[in-house]
This record gives sequence, structure tokens and C-alpha cells, in this order.
Amino acid sequence: MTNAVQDIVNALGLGGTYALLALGLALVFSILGLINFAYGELMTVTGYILFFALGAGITTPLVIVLAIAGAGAASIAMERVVFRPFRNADATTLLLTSFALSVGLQTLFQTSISANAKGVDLNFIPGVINVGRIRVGGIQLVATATSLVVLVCLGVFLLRTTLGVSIRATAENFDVARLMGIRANRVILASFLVSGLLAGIAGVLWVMQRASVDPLLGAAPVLKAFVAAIVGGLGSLRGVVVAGFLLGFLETFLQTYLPGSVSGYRDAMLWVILIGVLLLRPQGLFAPAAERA
Amino acid sequence: MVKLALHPHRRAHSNGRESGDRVGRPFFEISNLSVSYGGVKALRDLSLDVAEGDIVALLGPNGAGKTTTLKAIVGWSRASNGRIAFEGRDLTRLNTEDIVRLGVTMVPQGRQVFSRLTVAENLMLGGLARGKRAGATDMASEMLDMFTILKERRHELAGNLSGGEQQQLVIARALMSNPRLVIFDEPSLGLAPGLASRTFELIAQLRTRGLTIIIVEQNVGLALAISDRAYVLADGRLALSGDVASLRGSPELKQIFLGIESAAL
Repeated sequence: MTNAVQDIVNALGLGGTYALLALGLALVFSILGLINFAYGELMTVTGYILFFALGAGITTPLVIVLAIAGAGAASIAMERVVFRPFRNADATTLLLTSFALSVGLQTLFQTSISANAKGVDLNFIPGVINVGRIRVGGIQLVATATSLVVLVCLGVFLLRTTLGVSIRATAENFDVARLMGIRANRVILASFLVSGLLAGIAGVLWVMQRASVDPLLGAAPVLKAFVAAIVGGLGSLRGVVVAGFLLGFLETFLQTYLPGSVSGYRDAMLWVILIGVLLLRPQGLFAPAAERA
Repeated sequence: MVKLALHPHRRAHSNGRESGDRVGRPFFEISNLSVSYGGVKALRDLSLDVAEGDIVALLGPNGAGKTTTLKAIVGWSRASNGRIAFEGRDLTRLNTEDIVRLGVTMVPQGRQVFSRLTVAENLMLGGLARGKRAGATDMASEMLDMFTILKERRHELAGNLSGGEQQQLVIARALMSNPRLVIFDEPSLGLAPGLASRTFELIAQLRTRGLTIIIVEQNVGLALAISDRAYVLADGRLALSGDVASLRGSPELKQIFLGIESAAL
């Protein structure tokens, strides 16, 4: 019982982090048709802000706020400096641009900071939290709670606020949205900001667990978030959230219950399952069928 | 007396209507407009004007340049030459968002509701351009009273409405911005004949709200039935213009459509 609860919390924590990242990728994609492969570098930026700000002796809560805000600012900077000149370019050009930005930033981190990992100690969360008689990982519980709260807040923002409705309208039909008087630049800016803040929050959760930052920090989780976004169906924000959690559960439970002799194949099995899903539903699990394409 | 003007490859700005007797600037005016896509001229030297309160049809076969003209008016594509003026203000350098705020809007082809948003959300967005303080809420309730089916289904996703209901929604959504010039792009497209006629009746009624209307339409008969004047494009140029009475049954108009639409005239 205890183990099962612990596994579920672990899966929710990991899945929640993937869900935040997948949502950040899908949000920008739905507005601009851009899959931002440099998204992982926003997590890395978050990690380095944590590292340097803690080193400067700033208190932990403020450091976390700074790191998340920094990721939001970096995301807006990416849009203004790199993506805006390619606003009307085709999908391939956008994809290559984001790859170039990703590799460029990784190289910049390696040469200007260090190729090695830097320790980041956000040790204000107890390693183990007792909930009644059940013991769960403190960081995993915080990750679960944080991602659930953020997802609910984001849902309220997208469903209930004028800007949120405008973002959904722009995602569905960019030209007609402008005909409503919706300012395209404002919506694009908002989607990059929200997407960056999500990367920042996910980045803090990620660094908490690893206690270090290196130039490739964001690459692996964003690759998985990208897969979650595709499996969920990029056009469906609900779908990518569900797929993010699904991925977290698959990864955690394969890790826990695979016998030791085959546990090295965990990721291979994960990808095989996901390829199977895409073979059956190429448009993604939750993407509304072709009429909404 | 009616007047009919033929424009074989005309270049200089003039228009079919004897507008010299009107005082002041025209309500809406296009002068020598050209639009190119990747070096191909889709529209050459188009000039037309629309008087306040009129319904004006923009006709022509496929590829004549009608949709190109509309896209240029609402800022979806850029003019390579010429001027589009609404109450004397040049629209050619403005963004779509700003053009709509001036009081010009379009009901796009194929309805194009926001299918994943509710009917109420679609209407709310339609009211954004009029600004927060200008009574968007009153307008929304007026629209829901005018289109009762939308009131019944206001919490449903717009994508679940029928074609006719979606047509009502896009018209109501356009009216939410409190426009003075509304452009309809192919309003009959994809609608059953009965529904198309009802849509045109509705458009004709909008005149009583003080609106000025431009209709682009393949169905010449339907468009002429409610219009005051018409401009006919062919091969990216203005070919013919005049009052509806003079155009109806004119051999030139039949010639342009090569008999395709003549049964409808």
C-alpha cells in the first residue's frame, strides 16, 4: 500500500513536470506552428539562475521567483530576437531556427559557464514527508502539488479570462482572430511568456530533484515532453496534459516493476509503447479528428 | 436614369457613378489598387467607391480578384500600389486589428466560427474591437435577442452548430464590433438554397441598422437582388460597374460570366 502510494506520487510528480513542459510547447505551437526545440534551454537558464542567485546569497524563495521570472523573460527574448523575423516562414525554417538556437545556447553555456555540472542545493524540502502512516518523497509531493495547482490556474486563465479566450481563438484561426480586433503581437507575447514560465516552474522542480545544473539539463525532459505533446495531439491542450501524466506513469512504473535483468530497456520499452500509440492514432490520442486540423 | 459603365482595361481612376455632384470625401473608396502575390499581379488598378448606407456587390468569375480585394481591405494582404480609404483614412498601412477598430469588418468565407469556443465566447470576442466601455454587453444581449437560436445554444461549442446557425453566429459576431462597413465574403457558399436566400434577406435587413455593406458573391442573382450597385471584376481588373437595374440582363455581364451564371441573372 505504502509503496503503491509512493509510486503514484512519484509518477504524478514526474508526469506533472512533463505535462507543464508539453503544455508550454503546445501553447506556442498552437499559435505559431512553431515547435520550439530551444525550449529545454529555458529550463537550463532557470537552473543557472538558481545556481548564481543562491551563490550570491539570495534567500531561497526569492531565488525561485527570480529563476521562474527569468525563464519567462528569456522566452520573450527568444520570440523578439530570434523567432519574430521568421514569423511568416514555413514550418521547416522555424524548426531549423529553433534547433540552431538550442545548440547555440548549449554551446554558450558550455563555453561561458562550464561543461560540468554545478551543484544547486534547494534543500528546504524534507526528503520524506509522512502523510498519516504513509511516507512519500518530499520533492515528489511538492512537484505533484505544484504542477496540479499550476495546471488548474492555467486552465482558469485560458477558460475564464479575455486574454485566455483570445489565445484559444488565435490558436484556432489566426486571421479571423485579428478580425476580432485581437492584437496578434500581444497574444504571441502572452503565449511565449506563459510557455517560458511553465519551463521555469518545471526547471525548478527538475533541479530540486537533481540538485545540479549542466548545459544539457533541459534536453532530456523536453524531448520527453515533446513526445508527450505529439502523443497527446499538439492541437489539444487537454490532450498534451493527459499524455504528460501518462508518460510519467509509464516511466515510473516501468522503472519500479521491470525485473532488474531488463530494466536497462526501460526507455526502449517506453518508446515502443508510444510508437504503438502513434501507429494506432497518428493524430495523437486526444486530438480532435481531422475536421479541427 | 440608370448609367452603365464599361471599363476595358482602364487605368486612370474614375468610377461608374457620377460622383462629381457629391460633396466631401466618399464614405469608402479604393483608388488604383494593385495587389501582387509573388510577382503575379492578382489585382490591377482597381478603383471603386461605396456611398454610406449602400449595399454594393463585387462580382466576377473565379480568380477575378474579388477575394484579393477583400483581403487587402481588411489588411490580410498588402497592397503593392494604390489607396484604400475609409472616411478619408488610408487603410493600406494599417493592421487588421486597427482597421476593425475604425469600423470596418468582414464576415469571412466559409463561416469560420471559432469551433472550439462557445457561442457566447465567439460573441464576446466579436465585441473586443469596440472597447470595454462601449456597451459590448448590451450588444451581446441584443444579438441574442435578434438571433434566438444563438441564445438557446449560447453555452454550446460553436463547432456543434449547424451551417445555418454558424452563419447567424458569424454575422452576429461581426455586428458585435459595432461596425459601419461590413464586408461579406461569399455568404451563400456551402449553404442550401433556402438558407442562402434567408441569409441574403438578413443582410438586406442590416441596412436598416445604418450599415454599409459590400458583398462578394458567386451567385450573381442573389447578390443583385439586394444590392444598389455592383462592380464586376474579370482577370484582376474592373470590367463593368453600374446600378443594379442597368446591370441586370446586360449582355456585357453575361459575356463576362460566359453564360455560366446567365441562368441566374
